[in-house]
Amino acid sequence: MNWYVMGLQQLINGLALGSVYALIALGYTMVYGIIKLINFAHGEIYMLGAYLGFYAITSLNLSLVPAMVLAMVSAAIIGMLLERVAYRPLRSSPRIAVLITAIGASLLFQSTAQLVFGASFKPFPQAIPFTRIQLGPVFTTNRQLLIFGVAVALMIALHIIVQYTTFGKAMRAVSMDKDAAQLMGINIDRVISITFALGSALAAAAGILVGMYYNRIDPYMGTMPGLKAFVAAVLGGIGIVPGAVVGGLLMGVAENMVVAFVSSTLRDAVAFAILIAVLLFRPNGLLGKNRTEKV
Amino acid sequence: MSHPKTKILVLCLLMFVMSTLAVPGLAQEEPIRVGLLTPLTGAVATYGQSVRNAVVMGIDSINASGGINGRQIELIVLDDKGDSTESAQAARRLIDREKVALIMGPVITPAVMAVAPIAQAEGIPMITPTGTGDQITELGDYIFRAAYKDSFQGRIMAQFAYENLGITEASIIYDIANDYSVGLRGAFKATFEELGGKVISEESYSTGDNDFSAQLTSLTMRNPQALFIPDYYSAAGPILMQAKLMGMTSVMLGVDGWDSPDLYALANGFEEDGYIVNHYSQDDESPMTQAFIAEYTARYGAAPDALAALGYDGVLIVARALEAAGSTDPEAIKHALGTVKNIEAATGTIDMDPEGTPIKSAVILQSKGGSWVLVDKIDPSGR
Repeated sequence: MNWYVMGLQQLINGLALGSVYALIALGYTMVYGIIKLINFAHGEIYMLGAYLGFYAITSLNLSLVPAMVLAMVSAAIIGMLLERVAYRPLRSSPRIAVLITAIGASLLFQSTAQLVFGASFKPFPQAIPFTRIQLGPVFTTNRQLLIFGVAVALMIALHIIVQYTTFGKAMRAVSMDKDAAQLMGINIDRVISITFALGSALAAAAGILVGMYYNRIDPYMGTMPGLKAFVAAVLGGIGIVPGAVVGGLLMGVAENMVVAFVSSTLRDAVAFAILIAVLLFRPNGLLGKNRTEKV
Repeated sequence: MSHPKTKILVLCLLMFVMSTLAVPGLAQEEPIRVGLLTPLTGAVATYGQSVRNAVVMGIDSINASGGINGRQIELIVLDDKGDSTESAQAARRLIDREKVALIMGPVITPAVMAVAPIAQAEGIPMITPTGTGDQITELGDYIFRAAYKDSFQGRIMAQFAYENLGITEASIIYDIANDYSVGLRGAFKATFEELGGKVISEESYSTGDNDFSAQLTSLTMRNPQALFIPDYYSAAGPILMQAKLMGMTSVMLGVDGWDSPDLYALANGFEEDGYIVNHYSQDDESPMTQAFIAEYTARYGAAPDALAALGYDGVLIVARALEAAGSTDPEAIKHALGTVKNIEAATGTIDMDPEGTPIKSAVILQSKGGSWVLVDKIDPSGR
């Protein structure tokens, strides 16, 4: 057996999985960057996105792209509502209160989804044909390319929004100093709301891509990827947008390599081992700057 | 309560209650309470729904023909979601609150493993229609099943692969966190290697994983002649699809857990030509099997899978045992469950055994265009 080919093949698998983590991690990191909240309900938005896509394809007979747009828009609205109803009233409360509210929201979404969609595993409609693309000794599938392509396109779109638009400037200003931004006339409620919308839309896209890739969705599918994407965000440096992408891709590759070369039982353990290692040795993440707090 | 109107109302209510009790209740004794633990939701929901449908159908027809020794059967169905903890809690409720004489279920091996020690400790006879894990019946003398054991099933598949399909090199992918999957992998591997075959690679995953690409990539590189996937449809379906997507061309070998109407959508057509061991075939021409299939199809509008057939057989075994026991004394029911013989059932003729596992045959089926076609029938001796 050729270990080098095997490693390369696992790298491809890892990048596909990693781009999903990256899409989810972006939502965590943007929200954290702006209001210093770890939105634990984010994994559930990803799950809802998968279901919204499922129903858009099966009930509304939409094809993949319109279904994905519809799911992203709906998820964005759900994300904004979540922020408006559950987080905004607590904005001046201690951070732990908001964090616990986020955990509560996560459980609420899970149980409601189980009630509404049923607890059974649903096969995801396979809206595109199966193709396998040979690249020398290794191969990829059109699904992996789709995941990777959509993820990269959405990340570029996000980058443009954050760096080159007025809204992006407002967003960066709010994340630097909320009060100063408000004094400059920035409507911070609106900025926070749109940040939630953007993050939720990306998570919904990830949910649909995963549903198609693995052909199985269920109400609890958001828990583990949600936690892993959170680790990815911390790994890249929470609050830093490119960090989430780097962290997500690294997590996906690490997970695949561990399963392929060490043991599949360590699949979930590796994510949390990375979390502990990052917190011990580079608490600001790979792309984070070491800032000494001035007292 | 002193208001005269209230008194009259209470009196009326009382008379109404008594009248409903008195008419059918006078001639008959109290019904026999039987509990059913089955996953109606969750990762193995189709198993539970099939079992529930068949059990309800079986008990309805017993009650319609006069019940057991003149007593009706009252069925209490609880959904355990296929989860061991939920199943154990539901079993406690059946025993403590519902005071059942006998428990049917749970359906999947891990849940049975959680419930059996409780039933054994409380001295309540229990029969799982479908649990195949070898260890189940070793948990006590009150524990019975209507299905074959995994060691039997794994051995049959290994023999079939080696002797009939001429496969000498196979790989296995299994769920390391599930007793059922682990047991089957052991049984298959032992027989396959004993016969002279070789298991060239093995990969594992954990319950709930949905990304199998890393494992399947490793397996595909070794290019095995056959891949054995001993798991439930909810995992086997996505594994089959992802394996074909990776370009794997191996013959796919499966087990009774694949038998679900949801397999086809989850595998997205890639289950085609795969082989499984199962408890019964819809092609079986025995009159009892065909009568069962006809009744089930007429009532539920879909052909019964093996889970339904086993659920129905469970009812037949329970009915015969309750009849032989002549009472709801747990000791008498237990004795009867281990000794009833010659039951003409949907999956064949069943002889119960005090060890807890019936002696009966198995079938090999092949997937053809969305249904299972009979390939071979194997008698209880294993050949």
